[in-house]
Order: sequence, then structure tokens, then C-alpha cells
Amino acid sequence: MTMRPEVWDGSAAPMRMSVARRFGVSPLVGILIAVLLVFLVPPTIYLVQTSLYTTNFDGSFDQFTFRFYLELFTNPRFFNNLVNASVYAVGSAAVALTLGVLQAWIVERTNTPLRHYVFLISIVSLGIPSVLYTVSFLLILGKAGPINLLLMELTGSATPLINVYSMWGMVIVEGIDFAPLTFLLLSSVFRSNDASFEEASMMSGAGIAQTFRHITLRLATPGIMALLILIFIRAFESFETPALVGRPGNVNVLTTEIYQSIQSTTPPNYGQAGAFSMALMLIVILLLVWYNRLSRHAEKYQTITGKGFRPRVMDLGKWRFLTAGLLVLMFVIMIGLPVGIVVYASFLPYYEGVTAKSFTQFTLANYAQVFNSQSFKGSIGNTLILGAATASLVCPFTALCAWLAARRHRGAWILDQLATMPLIFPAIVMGVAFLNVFLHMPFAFYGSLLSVILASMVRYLPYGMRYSYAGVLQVHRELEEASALSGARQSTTFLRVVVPLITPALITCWLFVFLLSVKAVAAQILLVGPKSQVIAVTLFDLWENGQVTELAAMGVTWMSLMTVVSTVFYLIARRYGLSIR
Amino acid sequence: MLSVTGLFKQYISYDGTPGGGVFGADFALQEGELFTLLGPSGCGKTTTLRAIAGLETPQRGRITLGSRDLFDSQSGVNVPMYDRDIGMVFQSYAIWPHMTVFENAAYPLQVGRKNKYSAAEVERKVKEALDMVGLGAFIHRPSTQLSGGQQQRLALARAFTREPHLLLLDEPLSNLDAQLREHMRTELKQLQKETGVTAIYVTHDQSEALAISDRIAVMNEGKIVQLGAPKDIYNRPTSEFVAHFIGRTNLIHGDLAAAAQAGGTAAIATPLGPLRCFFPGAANARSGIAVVVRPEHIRIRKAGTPLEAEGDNRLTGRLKAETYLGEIVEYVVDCSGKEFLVRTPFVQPIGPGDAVTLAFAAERTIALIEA
Repeated sequence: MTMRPEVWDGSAAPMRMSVARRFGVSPLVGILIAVLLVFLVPPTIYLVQTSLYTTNFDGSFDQFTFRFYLELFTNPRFFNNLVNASVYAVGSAAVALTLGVLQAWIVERTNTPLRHYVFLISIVSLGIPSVLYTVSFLLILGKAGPINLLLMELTGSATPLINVYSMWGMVIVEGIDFAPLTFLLLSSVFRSNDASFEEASMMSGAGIAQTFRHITLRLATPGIMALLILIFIRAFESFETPALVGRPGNVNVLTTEIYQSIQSTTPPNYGQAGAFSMALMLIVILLLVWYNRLSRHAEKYQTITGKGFRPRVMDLGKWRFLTAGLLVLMFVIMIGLPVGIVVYASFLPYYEGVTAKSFTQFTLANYAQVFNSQSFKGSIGNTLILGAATASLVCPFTALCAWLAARRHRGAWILDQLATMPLIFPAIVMGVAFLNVFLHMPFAFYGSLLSVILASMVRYLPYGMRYSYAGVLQVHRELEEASALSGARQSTTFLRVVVPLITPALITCWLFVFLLSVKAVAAQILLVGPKSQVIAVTLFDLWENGQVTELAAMGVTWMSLMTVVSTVFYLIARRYGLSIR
Repeated sequence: MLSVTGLFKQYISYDGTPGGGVFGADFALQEGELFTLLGPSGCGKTTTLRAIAGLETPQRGRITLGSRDLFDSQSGVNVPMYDRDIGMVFQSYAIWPHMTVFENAAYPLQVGRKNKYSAAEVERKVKEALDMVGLGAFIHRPSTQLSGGQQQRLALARAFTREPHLLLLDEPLSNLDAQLREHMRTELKQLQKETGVTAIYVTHDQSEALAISDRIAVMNEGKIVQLGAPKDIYNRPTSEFVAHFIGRTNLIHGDLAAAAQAGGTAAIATPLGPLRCFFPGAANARSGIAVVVRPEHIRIRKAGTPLEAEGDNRLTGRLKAETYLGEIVEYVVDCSGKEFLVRTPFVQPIGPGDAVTLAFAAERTIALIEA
């Protein structure tokens, strides 16, 4: 099952239908379309308006103007941000892909020991909030971090040698953060290639390295290219790493600029945020269209494998211990060190790097504070509610939409397109859009937990849609036709046949959306109020306030909880053969 | 040529239970012959082939090609597959979709470590190989534009370009449609004879095996159960498994009163009366010996009509069913509760319920002497 986001298919057959047929939809489809439009249209309109009007102090729109767009071209920061974002996105995509390709090849195509654990570890790592992950790397690579201390010891330098608050720091952190997801997506690319392609190469006299270079890598190239663009997009629109790593080092990108023009400017410069958001969105749309083309090409490329398919792996002989060593090394860098340093920091009274002295000062005070503080407990509670509510709203809704679309109910293609549309909104842009919607509500809605849940639901609709679609496609049409011929109505067929059959997919969908919605900070940071604090935002604020040890204790507590969730996710997905493949 | 001794490879499934594989296979190939491993799926034929190729590492046994050990569990020799000089055609053809026809066929010449070929040589050899399989005109096509049959030819050409000592064919025709399959099998055999390459052919299709092979090794449950020329395998099966797996057959059990000599005939007492049977090997007197007769070796007449040859086994029965198949007619005859299948090209003036006489020669009535 892939988590491949898609944009609408411009070449879809309905375009050729007559106007009557095209707009003829069944009542159920009509209702669902209306529901989606209610959630999608206002934020879009408000986003456009924000960029075209000056905003008063009370948040109401004032005068129509193109000023904010014109400023894009005169503002040197905009081009600077654009260049930074591009360099950063290319760099982190390269890091993530290098790690991901290596891992996916070792796990899927060789007989390396320990390889089966990589899946579990990658999925568990999905449960670590991005903020916490970024922070852990700042602790490792920061001025007082173990790496700098070690380098100073080795070279005798009196000042730290590496500065993580820089472009390369952002690239490394984001690249490593993305590696597990890259691996999960790439492993399906590598798995779908027939092993006899490689065996034929070996029988032609090629060695392992030659076979990897000429056959394995080349066959995976379309898939890798598509993924490259996907990671590029995700990095381009990412917020956590630029905010925590880039901003202190004065390396700004579009997302942090948007955040700053609302959060760190008085009064908030909504117009500039709107124009920047529109520009960012336009770029993302173009990239998604390109991605969509490439990924469709990649699938075409793969269909010629087919017959006599045998999932065999390559015997590496003695080399398999080297590849096992590589897996362990990658595990240490990607999970061991970050988790280790956070756990370590959580036991300290105050953080001052890794020193011999600090080991004698271990204390549980931070945990005591986390468990006793009302606001921390509230934050954990809110986050669990947020995740559960988002997943519970998204999964059944998308399951119904996916089924209607997969069975080609009249007009259901519109549902498919609408539900995947939120992908064009970068998380921070969606935050800006919903912020404006909520501010303009006639009643006090901004800052409530419900408002955060609604925004989060819209944000994760596409992911739920992909999961549900894949689940529905696994159900053979004839199973439903048999039910219909037995005299069941469509609704009965859906509840008695379809739902039970796609339940495993729905459960994994639920857990996946849950994990995603509690992981990111960007979608929520502009929306939460004092009563709707969530973990990711709390961690972000704690870091901004320099409360590293409390952050660590809270992070460890949350990670433990999420490890349980993601392990359950892994086990269920594996049991039913629908892990994120 | 190639000799395989005591080849043993057992698969262990994920939960630790022992699975299929090959449990002690011995055979030797003669220069230039087409040798077939035939058996149902899971019988170990593909495992044997892959062990010879080097794609699987056996647990025990020895594989020798010419004077060179490819694998020997005792001395620890295991020649890596790129150094074995063996060509292989895969069931899925494994034509690399990212390469053209030329690139696919040239690959073995370009990646090999032993012999380095100049670009001109590569070009010449690839042209030769492609011309040989009739793909000369397609040389610069992307390989994805080839049909199934053409991909198959390309796979063959690719296996030939390095002029291997041995050619392995893993169910190469199973992905083609019926008509093309028959055509390709004739072509394949011709090509093998013309080039003189020694080949091992793996298939589960018995008619394909009979048509194409010089010799066949029938495998079942990881062991070779019979090895011989197609005619011997078909006409002189030594076990119920082979008799049933290759073609359709009639089976009846009986008792042998006195010891029988190898190659001779002797009477076996069956519930339907005594039958004179051919003994491919010597057998001592015992009960429960299985006897098989092929449906096409039985003649059928309306009861009372004279049958030509003397000295045949005769049975009387009642016609139960008749199936007209065009070039052949199948009759099901009930002989005192035992059903016999008869296949004959000659339509008889009989209908269901008629009394009939069956006759078959003693040399065609084979006693299965397996223990």
C-alpha cells in the first residue's frame, strides 16, 4: 500500500461526458461533495482574500490591493527565501534518498541479517514528533553537543568547530528525519522488481556491484525520481527544521517567513503571509503535477515485470555482515543517538552538554514536573483527543468516498479530487488559511480544540483517502456483485461485505492518520490557543524558551506512548499484509 | 559433461518447518543432449536447476561441469555464478525493460570479467545471436515493445551470446499461448541441435518434455523417480507416479504367482482374470502388483466381432460413455465394476450399454516393479 499523494487527474474521462452526465450525481455523492466543499472553499477564499486586502487591527479586511504581490518581486527576502528553500529541499532530498535507497536495497534485495527489523524501526520512528527529532539533533550537533566536544578534544580547538544552525545543518537534520519514510516508500519500489532481472544479470557474468548499478538501480530509477520530487516538495513546505535550525542561524525559507509575518510581527502582516502562501502554494501545485506525471510513468514501467514473479533476494555471502553493519550504523544515527540524547537530557537538572559530571546529577525532577503540571497533562490529553478525533473523522469518511469513487458512482470522481486537494496546501499555508476563517467566525472559535481538529481533519484527508482507496481496491468487485445478486441493497452490501473486508485497512488508516496528525507542528502552530495546547506545539515553545530538560522529559513520555501506537500499527499492518507498502 | 551427485537442498520456511527442495539427485549429462527435468510444481526441478546455475547454494552434494567442480560441499568449492559460464533463460524471460534489444543481448559480453570484447566484436556477436533467433530486424527496438514470443527469443539470444558450455531453460515456454508454444518448442529444439549446446530444460508439461527431450528425468517430492528416453518413460513407466503423471493410464492390481524375469512376460492374476504383463525388471512372487495399460494401447470392438491379433489380453465389459474429440474417440468401459479408458482414432459402431471386448498386447501391459 502506498501513501502516494496525487493531484487530480486532468485527463479523466468525465471531461468528455455530456454536461448533464457530468453533473449528474447520486444524492449520497452530492451530500459528501457538499460536506467537502464546506471545509475546502472558505479557507481557499480567505487565503486569496488575505493576499489581496489590507487587514485591520481587528482582523477584518480593508482595502483591495495588489501591493502584497508586487512586494514579492521587490522584496529581496522573497528571492532569498526561495533560493534557500530550493537548496535546502534539494540537499535534504539527496540525504534522505541516499539513506533510503541503501536501506531499501539491503532490506528488500539482499539476505542481510537483521534486515526485517528495519521496517519495525522505521514505523516506530513515525511516532517521534518532528520537533523532538529536530531538537535531538540540535542537542547532538549543537555547540555543547557531544560531536563538537569530541572535535574540540581531538583538535585542541577552544571554540566549537561546527555550527549546526546553518544550511548544511538543516539539510542533515531534515534528510535524516525523512529517511524512514523514504525507506518505506522505496522498499515497495525495490520489492516490485522481479528478482529474475537481477539473476539474469548475475548469470550474464556480472557481479553484485555491477548488477546493482546496471540493473537494480536503473529499474528503480523512475520510482526514485518520483520520490525525489515528493521529498523535495515535503522539504520545500516543511516548517519544523527551518524554524528550529535555520531561523537562529538567519537562514530563512518561505514557510518561516510566513510564520514570522504573523507570529513575530506586530501587528501581524497578514497580507504578506497571504502573498507568500499563494506563491508557495503555486510552486507546490506545479511540483505535484510533475510528480503525478512521473509516478504514473513509474508505475507503467513496473507493470512489465509480472509473470513468474518470485520475490527472491540476493545472497551477498560474506558481504552481508558489512551490510548488516551499515544497517546498525544507520540505526544508531537515525534513532539511537537522537533518542539517546533526549533520554539523557530528560534526567538532567539543567542541560549543559554531555559531560562526565552530569551523569552524577541525574534526577527525576523533570518527569515529576511533567506528570504534575496541569498544562503538560492538558497538552497530552488534547493531543490524544486531536489525533483520535482526526483519525476517526477522516477514515470512515474517506472509506465511503474511496468506495464510491472506486466503484465509479456517478460524480464520485469529484469526491476523489476534492479529498486529495488539501495536498496543495503546505501545512503552514493551511494554518494561515484556517486562521483567517476562524478569526472571521461570528462566534469565538479561534483557539478552540475543535477548530484545531477541523483543520487537522482537512489536512490529513488525502492521506486517509490513499489508504482507503488501496483498501477498497483489494476487495474484488465480484464479492459485492454476489451480495447484490443475493438481494442486498447497496447500503447493506457496503456495511455487510465491504466494511468487514476493508476493516484491517481502516484500522491501519486510523493509526497512520493518528500518528501523522500528532507528529507535525506546522499545521497547528498558528491555530492553537491557551486551552488547546498540543504536544508538538508545547515542545516547540519549550525549545524556544530554552526549557530543554522539561522538553526532553515530555518528549520521552510522549515517545513511549507513541511507540505503543506505532507498534500496534506495525503488527496489524503486517498481520493483514498491508503495511505501508 | 555436467554431473550432479547427491544434490541436497531443503528449504526452511519462516516458522522453522522444513519445506520442499531436492533430496539427493544424481544424474550426468552427455555432450550436446537436451536433458529435461520433469515433474509437478514443488518437485524440486527448479531448485535443481538453480543450484546448477549457482542461484541457490545446496546443503550437500557436488556439481561438476567438464573437469571443473562448480560446487562441492565436501571440499567447500562454490564457484560464483558469474564465473560458471552457464547461460540461462528465465521463466519470466527477465528482459530488462530499461535496455534496448541490442543492450540486453550485449550485456553478458560487456560485464564479463574473463573475456573483454571490443565494441566491434560485441556488435558482431550480438548480431549473430539475434539473427539466429530471428530478431535481427529488431536490434534497436526498446525491449518493452517486443511481444511475448519475441521476448522469449531475446532471452534465448542473450543466453547464447557468451557461448556458454551449458544452457539452462526454466519453463521457457510456459508464458506463451498454446499455438506459439508448440511452434517455439520445435524451434528451440532445432536451435539446440544446430548449436550443439548441452541444455537442461525444466518443465511441468509432460507433452512438451516428450516432444523436445533426448532424455527425461522425472522428479517427484525432491527425488528423481525415473530417468530415460521419452519413449521409455512413456511406454515403460516403473512407478504409479510416472504412469499417472505422463499421459493418462489404466491401473489394476493383481498377484504374481511365480518370479518373473527382467524383460520377460508373466501372468498376473487380477480380479478380472489373468493378464500377461511385461516386466521391465525382475520381480519375485508377491501380491498387490500394479499393472498399467495406456488407453491408446487398447483396442475395442463390439462383443462378438473378431479381433485381429492373437495372444492378447482380453476383457469383456459394457460401454458406459463415449466422448468424441475429433481426431480421437474416448470410450469408458465398465469391466465388472472396474472402469477402463480407451482412446482410438477409429469410431466404432457401438453406443452406451453395448457389450464390448477389449484387447491389449502383453508388451503394452506393464507391471510396475517398484517396491
